Amino acid sequence: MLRVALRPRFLGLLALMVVATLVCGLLATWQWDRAHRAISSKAEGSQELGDIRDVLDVGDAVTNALVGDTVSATGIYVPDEQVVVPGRNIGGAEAVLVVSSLLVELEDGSQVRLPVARGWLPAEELTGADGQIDPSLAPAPPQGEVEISGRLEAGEAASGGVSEGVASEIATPLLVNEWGSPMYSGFVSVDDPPGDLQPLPAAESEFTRGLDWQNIGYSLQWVLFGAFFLYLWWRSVRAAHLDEVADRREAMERMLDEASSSSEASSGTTAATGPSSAPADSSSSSAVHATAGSTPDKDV
Amino acid sequence: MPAPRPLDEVACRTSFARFRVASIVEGIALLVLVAIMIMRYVVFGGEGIFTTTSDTWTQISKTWSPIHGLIYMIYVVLGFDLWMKMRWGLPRMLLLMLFGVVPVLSFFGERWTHQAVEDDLARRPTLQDEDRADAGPGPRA
Repeated sequence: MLRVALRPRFLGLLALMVVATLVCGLLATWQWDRAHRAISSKAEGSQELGDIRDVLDVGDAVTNALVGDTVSATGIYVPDEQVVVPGRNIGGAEAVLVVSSLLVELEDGSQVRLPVARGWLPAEELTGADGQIDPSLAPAPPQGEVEISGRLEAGEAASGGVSEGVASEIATPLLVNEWGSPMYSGFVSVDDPPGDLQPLPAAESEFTRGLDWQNIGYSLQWVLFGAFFLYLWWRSVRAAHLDEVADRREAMERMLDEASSSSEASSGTTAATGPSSAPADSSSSSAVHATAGSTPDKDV
Repeated sequence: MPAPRPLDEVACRTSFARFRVASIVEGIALLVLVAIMIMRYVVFGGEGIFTTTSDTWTQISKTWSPIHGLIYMIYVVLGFDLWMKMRWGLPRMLLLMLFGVVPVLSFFGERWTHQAVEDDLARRPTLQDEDRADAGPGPRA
């Protein structure tokens, strides 16, 4: 089998298969890294990135590399620009998030809105007499220039809208419609809010949940694929080898048959000349001997 | 040069029938995947390459991609089965695998493979040759 495998044709194919397997290996490590990227990205913990104006440009997405890092912002809360986001469950309690609009002045003098999640309150504190969530019960933001510090979070996917100060999500597209543009995408979740407000837990996403098992699965599939290429090569070497063995055996059998039949035929003629037996047809006797002789020859 | 080893014609035809179904199913599945990709990244594409603005199409794409992956794997396994039964060389297996990854190609690949199977069964000896010779109205003494 080794001699078959070492033929130039099979060596060439082996080289091709090894390349294919290496490519699969690279793709496997790529998926493996992707599965671990959240863990490696946040292994050093959340970073202090400083003023948001130096971190994020207006309109730029809050990337996974930035999410969860701490930023600071200085500005003025716009009065009356506040929404509440009900229907959240924080540590078993039904919670309502309070989101306000902080007006930040950029270096070129223009003003930009930054959605700020100032904290959350238990739902019952914001429930009016009619049993509905009443945004006016939420504490108003402080007046004058304030400096806040908090976690930078990506905006949530919008599913509903904003009506009468109640928003379905903290989503920039919803808030832009309510408060106007320009506005930072994403929001800042204040670290230690004043008063009754409590800080939001870190937002969860597929990214922050850590090890991505889907990517682990893809990684293993690539390994399997790479192994399959090598297996294919081995199968084709084996098939070629077995065919050749079978060919050699058949050739050998034919040769032995011929050898035995010719020797039998010659002995048959000598026997025919003898007085004891009747002269036999030489061609039929050789055919009989050939079939009979082939059976013991196989063991040779 | 020794005569080629005989093929098992019945097994070959069965394998090809399975491969043919897999090939058509894979071809359709791949076209569906391409259509989903176009919806996700072109029709509802974002500013950068491979970004999207549609959550719906992202969800559809995330659902269909693994299903298509599974269909392709079944296609490769059935192709491997046919390849072994036909005693083909290694490059032809790679060709069968390629047919499954290029959109639309699997339909032509299926026809090409059919032709190759028929040619080989006609050209090479098969295990069924003897039965046919016995059953046929061949010249008998």
